[in-house]
Amino acid sequence: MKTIKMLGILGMVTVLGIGLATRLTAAEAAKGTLDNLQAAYNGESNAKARYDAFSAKADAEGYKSVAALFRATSRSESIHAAKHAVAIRKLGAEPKAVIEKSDVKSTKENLEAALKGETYEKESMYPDFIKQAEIDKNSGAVMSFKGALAAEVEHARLFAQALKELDSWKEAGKEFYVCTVCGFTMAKIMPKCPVCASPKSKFDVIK
Amino acid sequence: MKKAGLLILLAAQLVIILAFWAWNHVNHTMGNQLAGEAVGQLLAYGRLAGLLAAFAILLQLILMGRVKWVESVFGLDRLSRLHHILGFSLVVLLVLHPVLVTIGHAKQADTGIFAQFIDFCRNWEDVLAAAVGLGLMIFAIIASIAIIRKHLRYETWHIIHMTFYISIALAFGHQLAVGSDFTGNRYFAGYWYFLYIFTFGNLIYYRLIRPLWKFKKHRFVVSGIVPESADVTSVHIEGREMASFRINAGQFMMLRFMTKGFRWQSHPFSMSCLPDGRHLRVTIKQLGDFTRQIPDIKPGTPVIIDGPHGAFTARQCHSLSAVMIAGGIGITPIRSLSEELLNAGRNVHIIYSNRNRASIVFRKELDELAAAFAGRLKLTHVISEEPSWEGEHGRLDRDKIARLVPDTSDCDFYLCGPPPMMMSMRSILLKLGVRSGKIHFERFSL
Repeated sequence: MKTIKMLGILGMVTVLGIGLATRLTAAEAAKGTLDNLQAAYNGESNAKARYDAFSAKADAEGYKSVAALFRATSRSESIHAAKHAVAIRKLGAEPKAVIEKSDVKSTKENLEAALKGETYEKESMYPDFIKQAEIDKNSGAVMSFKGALAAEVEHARLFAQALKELDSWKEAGKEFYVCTVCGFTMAKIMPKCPVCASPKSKFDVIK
Repeated sequence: MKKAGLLILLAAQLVIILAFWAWNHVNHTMGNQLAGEAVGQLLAYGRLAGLLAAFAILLQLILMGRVKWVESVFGLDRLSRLHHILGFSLVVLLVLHPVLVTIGHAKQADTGIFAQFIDFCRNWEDVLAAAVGLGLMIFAIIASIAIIRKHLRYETWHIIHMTFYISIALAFGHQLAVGSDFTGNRYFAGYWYFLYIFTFGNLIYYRLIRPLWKFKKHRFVVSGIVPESADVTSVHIEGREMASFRINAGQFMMLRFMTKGFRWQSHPFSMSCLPDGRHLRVTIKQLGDFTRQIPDIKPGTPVIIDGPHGAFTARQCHSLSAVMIAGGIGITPIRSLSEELLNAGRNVHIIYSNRNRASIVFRKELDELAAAFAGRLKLTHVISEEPSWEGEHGRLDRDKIARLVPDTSDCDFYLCGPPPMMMSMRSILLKLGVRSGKIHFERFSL
């Protein structure tokens, strides 16, 4: 009888333990996505500030089209930051960003730094964040991360192209289109945003 | 064989549309939208509803476009029923499309559903026009609901129904301007253009070019207006090279009289005499505003004829005997069909139901026919509202049909009259053991 009692207590403790552990894991996971959203918000906010500074430098050095590209990517990053902020608020938190002083060098070096940053975001940061958000079943965060990822891929491609053809990007004249709904950046006008399907009337034209 | 071919052709179009749609959404920039987040799925299925709605509308145009290669296989009656069912089913797709797409985009843009709808109308290319088109389509479908339609004049209902063409034009722009399935896939856009060109090509050919070409060739004119009874008039039509205008007894034509008050409407009328290669005759009862003016048409009035149409012909009869059951003005195709069947050696029994003696159309002609084919044509008049009538009395019911046609074996049955009467006769005949394939009828109220 005593043994049965002991086994019963042990069983209840085990069930409680598993339940608690599961709750803790879920809470941790949710915390993981929130942390990721905060990290992404901080990253996008800093990227915006950095690209604004890079744009001014490119203008000063006479790389008019590179300056336009930095202005466009800056606009894009600000849209991503705003979308991450919405997802953060849905989790009951406030978005926080600490804007660091931008390390502005020559336009060529700035492009290399920008390419490095975007490459990290597209190859490592956002894919990991998306996986975590999918585990947490946070569809808002998944959409926000996926939208940003699609844009970062294009940013990286444009930065690489600008680096390769740097001399020809001195001339003014290149226009970029930023979807104001999702932040996708395009080097030529499209009838619709390929990411969120918004029409071209929703694009900001950046010169 | 032809039927199977057409059904396969239809199924192939659905497969192509589904394949393009699935390919677009599986290979989306944001990853597989069909297996991803709810927003992606809402948009994907919303777009599918729109694609299927547009396809169903094109199909509706083919079904009722009097397209010969479709109508000759399925028969107008079946196409008409399918058009009716598909029309009402269409509402589901027409409503689902904007609802799902609006919710999807609202979620994507973190905005409210109403705000998103207003944004669509104000900022999305051609979407306001499409929204107006959708409203008109739903209005036209509602006007076709039996309980509402019976309160509308045919002309009013017809005008409302014709607004569907305006709706199609209004909705077309937004499909290619903002439809994600087309903007990102030029092959799908090309296929979509092809579907529209194919459908409207058929429609324009069969509804416009063909009748005009026939008019140019035959120069049809009204040759006589003959009163048959107080409210029934026969219109005789003649023209050039009439022998080459091939029409079978039982078939009908859409007639457009090219005179004031008539030229904007065409209506279906059956051949009421045996085609003789020289002239045509239709017999019309005054039932509405259009038909009430028929006796005023002057001989010499040009007539544009769209047709012949319909599969309600002697070719359907594979038995030795034919029983022709007509109600009121439904005698018109029965009159011509009976003579053709008699000429082809069949035995014919015409059971003709009317309210009173005065309503009987072609009484003299039918008597003459009975005399000419004595022993092979039996003529039974059934009168429902005249106690002094010495013949068959009352309505056509199961007992009466069983008594009048004691042996239903080796008999084909042709029905023509008001739709409720035809449905009731069909049901009675099925209960009497007649196979459905032996019962022929065609409703052509378009």
